[in-house]
Amino acid sequence: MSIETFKQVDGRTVIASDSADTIGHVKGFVLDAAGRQIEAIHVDGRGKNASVVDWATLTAFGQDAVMVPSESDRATVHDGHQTEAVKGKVGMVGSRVLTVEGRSAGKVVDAEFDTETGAIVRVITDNGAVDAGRVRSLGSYALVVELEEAHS
Amino acid sequence: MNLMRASDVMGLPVVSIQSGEDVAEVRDVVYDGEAHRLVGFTLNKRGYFAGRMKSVLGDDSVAAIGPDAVMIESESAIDDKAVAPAPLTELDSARPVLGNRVLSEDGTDLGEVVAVILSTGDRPEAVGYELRSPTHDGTSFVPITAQMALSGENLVVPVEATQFIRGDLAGFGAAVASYRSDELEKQR
Repeated sequence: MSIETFKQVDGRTVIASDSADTIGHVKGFVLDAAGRQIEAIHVDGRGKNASVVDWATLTAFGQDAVMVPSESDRATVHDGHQTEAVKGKVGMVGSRVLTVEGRSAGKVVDAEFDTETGAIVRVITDNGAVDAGRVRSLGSYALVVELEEAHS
Repeated sequence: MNLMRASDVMGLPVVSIQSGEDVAEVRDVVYDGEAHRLVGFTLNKRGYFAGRMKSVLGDDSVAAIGPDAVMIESESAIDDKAVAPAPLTELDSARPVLGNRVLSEDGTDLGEVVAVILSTGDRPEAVGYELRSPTHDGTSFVPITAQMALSGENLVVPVEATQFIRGDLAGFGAAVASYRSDELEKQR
């Protein structure tokens, strides 16, 4: 398993294997509502004209390039959830962090993910790291996290 | 025990744990002055065009009250069919509590109720009242007890509760916790 962070991969080239053409760059991520899995990568354009590549279509998230089979795997945002994500209304980095007890716990600075599966591994906040297992949801208001086990 | 004034809950966002969305904000606290019990919250919509919501949030649907948000499991916790009971700031309903004079059973005037104090966390409830002192500037906190008698203008508290009166909210949290464990001891 190889771990990288959102900031490390920002701007990485996205290439279509069949034509060897560059079809975009990593501009951002669309996450599931649980905040634990990358569903798609925002690769080009903005707002309603943004285009994304579904994580499931990737052949490799490599150290130097993200590989997809063909340019046809790049699609314009096709639902409200994706549109909110590419517009930055729902996003991991910069999101407010709130505990299930209703207490603010800083803001998200970065996130580590598994480049093979797209699973979020840890969320880095300005208050420390949060294991993905503690994340309950990611919405437009906050990333909601479980409390840390009491220190013994 | 972490505590908050009920008035400080007003304006907090109501956030769904399941979605991370702010589905409403607290408009007012609904409090049953006769039973000394937190009933729930009336709500406002979020955003620039915020207006009153018909929906109500019952205290048993709250997952947790914190200093920065009221948490609910999901949006279905908000009951849009319930009729909102009269909230705390509507004077008629609040009159049983706010403004009441609190006397101890031995006839000492402890002050006038200026705020309802709630415990925060995942089992929020009303635990005490903030009193404005009759003799000096400043306030103190008295625990809510099962034996409180209420007349509509006066609230009489048992003498043993008066030893748990504290001058600050943090100290009062500890006092409420020890008062409650004393009460439990007695019941055994």
